[in-house]
Amino acid sequence: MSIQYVKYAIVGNSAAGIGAAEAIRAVDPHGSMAIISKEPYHTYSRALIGHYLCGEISEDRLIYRPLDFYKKNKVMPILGREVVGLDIERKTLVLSNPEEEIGWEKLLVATGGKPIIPRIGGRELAYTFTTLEDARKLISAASDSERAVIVGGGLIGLQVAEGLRKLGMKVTIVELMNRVLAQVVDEETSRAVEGILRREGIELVLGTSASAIEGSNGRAKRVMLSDGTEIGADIVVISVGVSPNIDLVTGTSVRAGKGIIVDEHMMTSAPDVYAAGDVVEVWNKITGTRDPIPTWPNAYMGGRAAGLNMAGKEAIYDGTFALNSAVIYGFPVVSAGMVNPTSEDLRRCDILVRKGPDRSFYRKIVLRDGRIVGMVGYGKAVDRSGIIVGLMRKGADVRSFADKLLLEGGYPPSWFRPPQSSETMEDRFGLIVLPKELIFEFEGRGGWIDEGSG
Amino acid sequence: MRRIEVRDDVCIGCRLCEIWCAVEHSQTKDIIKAFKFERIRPMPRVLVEESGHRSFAIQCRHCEEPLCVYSCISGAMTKNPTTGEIEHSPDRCVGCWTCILVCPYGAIARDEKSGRIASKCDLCAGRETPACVERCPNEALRVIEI
Repeated sequence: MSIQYVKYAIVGNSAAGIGAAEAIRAVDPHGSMAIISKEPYHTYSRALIGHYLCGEISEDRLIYRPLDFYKKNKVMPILGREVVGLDIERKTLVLSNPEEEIGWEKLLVATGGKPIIPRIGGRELAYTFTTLEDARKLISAASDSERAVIVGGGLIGLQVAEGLRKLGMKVTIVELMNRVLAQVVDEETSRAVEGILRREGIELVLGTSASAIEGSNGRAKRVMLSDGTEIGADIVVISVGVSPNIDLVTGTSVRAGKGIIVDEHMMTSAPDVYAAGDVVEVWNKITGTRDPIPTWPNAYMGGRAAGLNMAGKEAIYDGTFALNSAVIYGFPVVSAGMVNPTSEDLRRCDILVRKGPDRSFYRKIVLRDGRIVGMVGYGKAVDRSGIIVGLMRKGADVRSFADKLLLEGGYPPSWFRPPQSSETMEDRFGLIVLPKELIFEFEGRGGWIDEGSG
Repeated sequence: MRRIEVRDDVCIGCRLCEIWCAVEHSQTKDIIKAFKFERIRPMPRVLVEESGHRSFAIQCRHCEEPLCVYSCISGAMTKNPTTGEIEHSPDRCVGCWTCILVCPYGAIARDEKSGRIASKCDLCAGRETPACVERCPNEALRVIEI
């Protein structure tokens, strides 16, 4: 074993890992840095593999940063090698293939999430959809398959459904809840999306789960459902969720619940060991709980906060909330925060809703004590929705202008295209409805990370 | 590093900034051809907001902490290391709209006509003075150095 040493060791080559690498380099131009990944590829975006599956983009467009990224940022990429040992006290990690020990000063664990596989018979016959390799296998399998059954109607499941349908397959989504995207959007939005999916010929089986997969010679033949029925399938994809990939720290002093537990500096219970991205559980400002919030913006920003702290510049990332943007057959959907308040929540919450005809506009806002704690919308409600998210992040009291929150944002201007409704420019949502001090408070520092002068 | 200052006290709400922004980002950069003959009418990247007699024009602030860059899933949004300007590469954009969800100014628009990509102010890269600033009749948009 040869022993190398790097000042900063980053395990994970996706959003959080890159966020940390860029932040470290901005503060510390010289400290040696290595990014280690089990996957052999240049950093790429897992969030793009759905677009790749349906043929919207070619494989070379999956990269997340230009090909000279590692060189420009003086990062040593150690790709296609796994971390098989981690010694927190000695501050070393062991790589496989060949076996090699690397000492580190600061470590970031950004190992992401792994797909949840329900313990049903025949699960080894199913595909999952989180990595580039998964996408390649699925594209190849689709070329000589006719029927696909997708178990799980969440964001990933819908991406796979659209992709395989566009590849010419007959597609059925099996979802446990009584609607798709149940974790991400409210019922109205789920119904609108279901309308789109059905219009495209995708079959939906809701309120049911898969109890077993049957097949032979490594190929699926059918899926058995919990209601006793069965569906023929050449391809079965399991997409019921991801859970933090905490394997690396299991058995070490690094504490983990559902995900690795970090403080507001993204540091774990072990000094000089940080974690960020889908692998961590973070403080959810809105629900007041610690949960994994596995979305791309949260991962990058968590990684950035970790990197700043690792390099000695204090940055506080004291909590976040769910953020999702999805496009299903061109139909845009966004959500943030708590969009499905329970009856318990509703005692303290007000709901504002506006819906336009023909899936043109829908926005629901959940207020609690005058502050926006949840937003979901589709169609034109997506435009300028960042203003609302900004208000959520600030915890601003919106009572004085709450009625304006449901108006359509003013993009593009009326001369560009005639207004679709009878509303004039005066009846538009925008920064102009906010109290002046709120607008300029954002100026350039709309950040989620508090980068103090320390 | 230059930025555009928004002066809501002198904006008259004429919307010339929107029109000239669109022309500047058209194929021909000729106002008659841009509006009448180009196949795709270009979108302006600046928006005039109006309420009662108050109005102002707003575009990308080229933030020091650009949430759009942090959130972009494809790396299409980048921060220029020299100028600090936020640059958008249409050929890397997949139109996921995550940037739109996080921009606290609502400064990014969905451009569905040009192939489903995000659209925002680029400070008229390559031009001496941004078109909106040059064409504003009342200096409600001004270039400042930061």
